Amino acid sequence: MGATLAIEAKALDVGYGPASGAVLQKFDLDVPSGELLTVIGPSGCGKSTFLRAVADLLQPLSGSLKVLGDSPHAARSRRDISFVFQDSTLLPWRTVLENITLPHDVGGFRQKPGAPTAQDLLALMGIPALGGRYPSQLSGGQRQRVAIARALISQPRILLMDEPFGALDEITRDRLNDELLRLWRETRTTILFVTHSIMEAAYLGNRVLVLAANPGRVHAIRDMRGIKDGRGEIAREHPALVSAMAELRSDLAACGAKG
Amino acid sequence: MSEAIARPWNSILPVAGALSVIVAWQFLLPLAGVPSYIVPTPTEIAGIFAKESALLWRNFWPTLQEALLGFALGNGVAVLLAIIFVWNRYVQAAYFPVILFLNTIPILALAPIIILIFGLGQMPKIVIAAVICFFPTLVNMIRGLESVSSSEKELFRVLSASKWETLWRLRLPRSLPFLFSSLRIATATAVIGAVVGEWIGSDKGLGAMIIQATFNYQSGRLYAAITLCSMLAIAFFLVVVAVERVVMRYER
Ligand SMILES: Nc1ncnc2c1ncn2[C@@H]1O[C@H](COP(=O)(O)OP(=O)(O)O)[C@@H](O)[C@H]1O
Ligand SMILES: [Mg+2]
Repeated sequence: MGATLAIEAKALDVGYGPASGAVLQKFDLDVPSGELLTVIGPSGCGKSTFLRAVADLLQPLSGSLKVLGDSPHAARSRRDISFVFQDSTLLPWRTVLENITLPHDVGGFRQKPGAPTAQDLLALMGIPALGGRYPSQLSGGQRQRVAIARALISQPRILLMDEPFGALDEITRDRLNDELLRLWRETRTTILFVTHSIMEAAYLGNRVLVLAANPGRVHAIRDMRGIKDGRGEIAREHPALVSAMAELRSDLAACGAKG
Repeated sequence: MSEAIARPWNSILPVAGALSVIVAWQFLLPLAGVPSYIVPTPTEIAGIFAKESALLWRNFWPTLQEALLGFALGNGVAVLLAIIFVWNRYVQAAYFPVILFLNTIPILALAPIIILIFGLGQMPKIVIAAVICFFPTLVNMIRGLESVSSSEKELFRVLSASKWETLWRLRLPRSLPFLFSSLRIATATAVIGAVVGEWIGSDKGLGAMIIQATFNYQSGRLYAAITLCSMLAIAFFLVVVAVERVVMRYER
């Protein structure tokens, strides 16, 4: 882990066409390589918009955005970026294994030598026996595991996750949070993790980015490493985590989040 | 909505319903004084099937061919055109309104023109069958190809998928449920198209047989031809459903 920045945004304006104006304005953010950054903010403040800009799905209106020291387009073309969506976006006509290998079937991309196979990733995600199933035969938690496996098969250096566990029940979500932490520890992939759960943001993040709305901008960045052990872990009931969550809650209130 | 019907009854009831109608037809219509040259009884129709099976088969095959080929032609062109339209929005904007306009012309008004163009063989019947299959499949197929979610599109863009790969690996599989629901309906309309084509100018096929039998008051033969038409449509429908089952097995 060098001093390189995974993501570097300077005075960044992002929006959906010049006509409708900028959703994110004067957006400044540095994300060092290997960080697990969680992102919270009022709904509609531009969390997904920021991930789309990083993934080269949306062109910046002005300012500069560097991904791994390069343009988002170059990073995307090298498959350095993977995206996990809230709805798992598994293709129902493909089996689990075929879904995981979708990245090999499009974009002129072949498997890198030494890269994990789909079966390895299934085992890593704790569902080694489900490779032959179709998505309609999986639970919501299993689908998200498959979606994460698909994101990992191209060995991305940056993993963008947009409320990936937002539709899951709390027990499944807790379990997947722990597995994501383990995965992050083992791979040290840079992860940007958007959530609307304060608990999830505080529990997972090395740092928590709090965004404010209208226009979307950085409201605060809270460092969580001080309260966690060397492995980035903390017990869910730990008083330090509870008070960190209280702080995030008042941040959100201050930047105008409703509900 | 009432509750669903339990296991054995859901297959027994339709059969019992059909049988009750046939029995009523067999015994109540003659009792009510309906003469058999207007509505022959089921046993009389069955008798025609036994007696005139050669004639019936001879007229069944052309209709079967026309309906099948018309189905393939109409739906094939519709699928291709839908792909072109979704591939290029400008082509769609220019030509979809034209097709919309053509679709408002009743098939009975169009049929004589088609016969003028293609003569008296089987070709005009195939074309008429194709024309009535065409439009519903075009509309359904366009909707199906466009039924991809925004996150699916984003997934394919993050993977740098080409337009062709997105069509082949995302849009076409997504369109299949829409396509099959249209194909199921097209089985019946293709048969209707073939029969209508035969009405207007033909001496063979079930449609021609229906017209001749009507003029000659051969009501047994008329009803036998009608029965064959509907059996053809049903068989055709079941084939499409079977293919759909195999292709869409992933939907449990
Ligand atoms: N495809 C789009 N076209 C136009 N505007 C959009 C689009 N997607 C989102 N927006 C607008 O951008 C703003 C931020 O949206 P988004 O990034 O999805 O918010 P968040 O993820 O924080 O809830 C919202 O005001 C939304 O209306
Ligand atoms: Mg969002």
